Amino acid sequence: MTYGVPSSVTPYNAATIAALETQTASLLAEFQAYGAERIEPAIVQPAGAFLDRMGEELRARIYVFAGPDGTELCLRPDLTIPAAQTYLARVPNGDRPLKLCYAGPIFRHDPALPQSSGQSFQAGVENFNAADSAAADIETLLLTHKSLVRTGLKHSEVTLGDVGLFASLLDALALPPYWRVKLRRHVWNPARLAELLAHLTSPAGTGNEFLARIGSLAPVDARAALEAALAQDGIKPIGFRTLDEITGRLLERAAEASTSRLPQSTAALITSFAAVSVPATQAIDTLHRLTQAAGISIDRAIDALKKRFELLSKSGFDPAKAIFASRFGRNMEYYTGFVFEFRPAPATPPIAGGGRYDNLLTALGAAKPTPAIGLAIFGDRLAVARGVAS
Amino acid sequence: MTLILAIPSKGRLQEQTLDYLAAAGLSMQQSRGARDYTASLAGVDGVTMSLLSAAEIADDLIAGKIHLGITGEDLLAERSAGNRVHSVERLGFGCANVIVAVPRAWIDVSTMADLDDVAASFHTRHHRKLRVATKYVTLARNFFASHGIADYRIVESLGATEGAPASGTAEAIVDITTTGATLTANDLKILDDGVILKSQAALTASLLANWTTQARTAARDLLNRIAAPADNHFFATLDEALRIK
Repeated sequence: MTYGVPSSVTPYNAATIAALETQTASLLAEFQAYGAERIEPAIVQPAGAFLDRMGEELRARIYVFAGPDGTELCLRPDLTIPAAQTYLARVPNGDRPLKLCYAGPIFRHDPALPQSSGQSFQAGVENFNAADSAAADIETLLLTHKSLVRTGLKHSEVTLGDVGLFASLLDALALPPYWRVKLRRHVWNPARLAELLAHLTSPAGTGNEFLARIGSLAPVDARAALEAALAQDGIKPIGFRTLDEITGRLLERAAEASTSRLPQSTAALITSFAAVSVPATQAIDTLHRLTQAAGISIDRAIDALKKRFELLSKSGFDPAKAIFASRFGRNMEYYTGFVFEFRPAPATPPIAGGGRYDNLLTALGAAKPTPAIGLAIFGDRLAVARGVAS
Repeated sequence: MTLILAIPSKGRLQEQTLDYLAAAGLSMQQSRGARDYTASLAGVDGVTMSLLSAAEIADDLIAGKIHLGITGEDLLAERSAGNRVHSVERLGFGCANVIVAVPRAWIDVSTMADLDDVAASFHTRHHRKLRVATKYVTLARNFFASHGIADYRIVESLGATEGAPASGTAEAIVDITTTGATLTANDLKILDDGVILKSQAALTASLLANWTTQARTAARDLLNRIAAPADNHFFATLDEALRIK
């Protein structure tokens, strides 16, 4: 008996292999009809780009190993990053749109299922630098739906979200920058958000003695005081974090300690906003009602979502069938705007997902902002949902 | 098949292990001298002692290559040994904490929540993630996740981790410490809520080893001598594990 190590036996029998191949061919035919060019990224990839972009938590789920020269390599856990790198190599000055598609195995360990094979089939499309973001978002959603239906999937449930909405809400609330970034970071986890809001609404701590002493100083004097205090205690400043950064944060904390606390009503608004989960047809009204009651406007962000819903209705896809959830942000990854997921039934794992990631290409070294949206279909789960694999 | 009991092959941990066995009237007999890496145990029949590094003992317990071993809890926790091993007795020596430490100059940072803020602003300011040097990759990752910190990178370090911030290879560390003196000497401090694990040496059983009748008899005799009273919970756990297996 082994634990934590995938079985050496193939995860697929002959019938499943045949079913997956037919399914993949059907998906690729749809993707190529949409104008996406097929690519085949290497299975062994440098690990750094994945860990940098998707977070250290990913390390628990990917197969990382050392290359002959000691470089950290991994089996590709995802194909969006390799596709984005392909775009950057092909269109170095980012001056034209390009749609790429792929189909093949990805490798992720599921700590909850230590004996599962650790590999699965994924097929997807990445649409780089499309001129009209709203249109591209809806095209991508519809392409996902159509591709699923063409494989023979009878029924699916759709969840929609918009990662940008919460950022707009925080901006409209005119919160101190320190609170804003912290709330943005933790909105995805209900327990952590509640904890953070409780902290921001309760009386401020007085901070330590040093904080009280330098809190009222100009930055240059505060820095001098910090240097003197470190010298007095015989502490050597080490590493790349500068004394200016430390001073800056101390002053920020001092300012926070003296500002008024987050009003309970604002905390309640943030909580209600994050908890919105309604049929998509009610989403716009719900978001308007919440923000109007609080006397703020994020109409631009809401209108952007509304435009997408309108495009969706026009296409013949009924938004009433989709659920809008404001906390749905696929937060482990790099999404910045519209996001969606398809499930075969409520509360089952998704069979497809996608979303807008406008900052990824810049993070990977693009010379200028390059908007992008992608979709991924999880082949093994789709085959199970279609009843052609178990 | 005899019972295999692995103990550390050198150092302070071996001395303390031998003292612990001696207190129960048991002594290691190395027939071929001090460089022999197997030995017998005078006082209990059917026990083969195996002298291994503490890390190998952890690996071998998890793999089921040995029945019992004395090693650090930190090494088992780092390997997510979980339900593959059973802790028979914590031994009260080899005590050390796995901790999160940052430069002492960071006087604005005393908690994991502070580190969360600093990780995010460091990324914005330096266009790269804050790096945490450690050999405890799993423990560090789980602990950071439990504090909601995502914006960092682990840098694997296999020795002299305390030196990483000063040499510029990492901003913070996760390391094991007994007195904290080495940390202070390297201008580092432990975060107030930065204790990940309070570790000590433990007599640990592998639930995956080949537990023959002979090995079980030897284990019962051994435990009767050292872990008084005999750990009935251990045998119940073992039976359950074997039943599932």
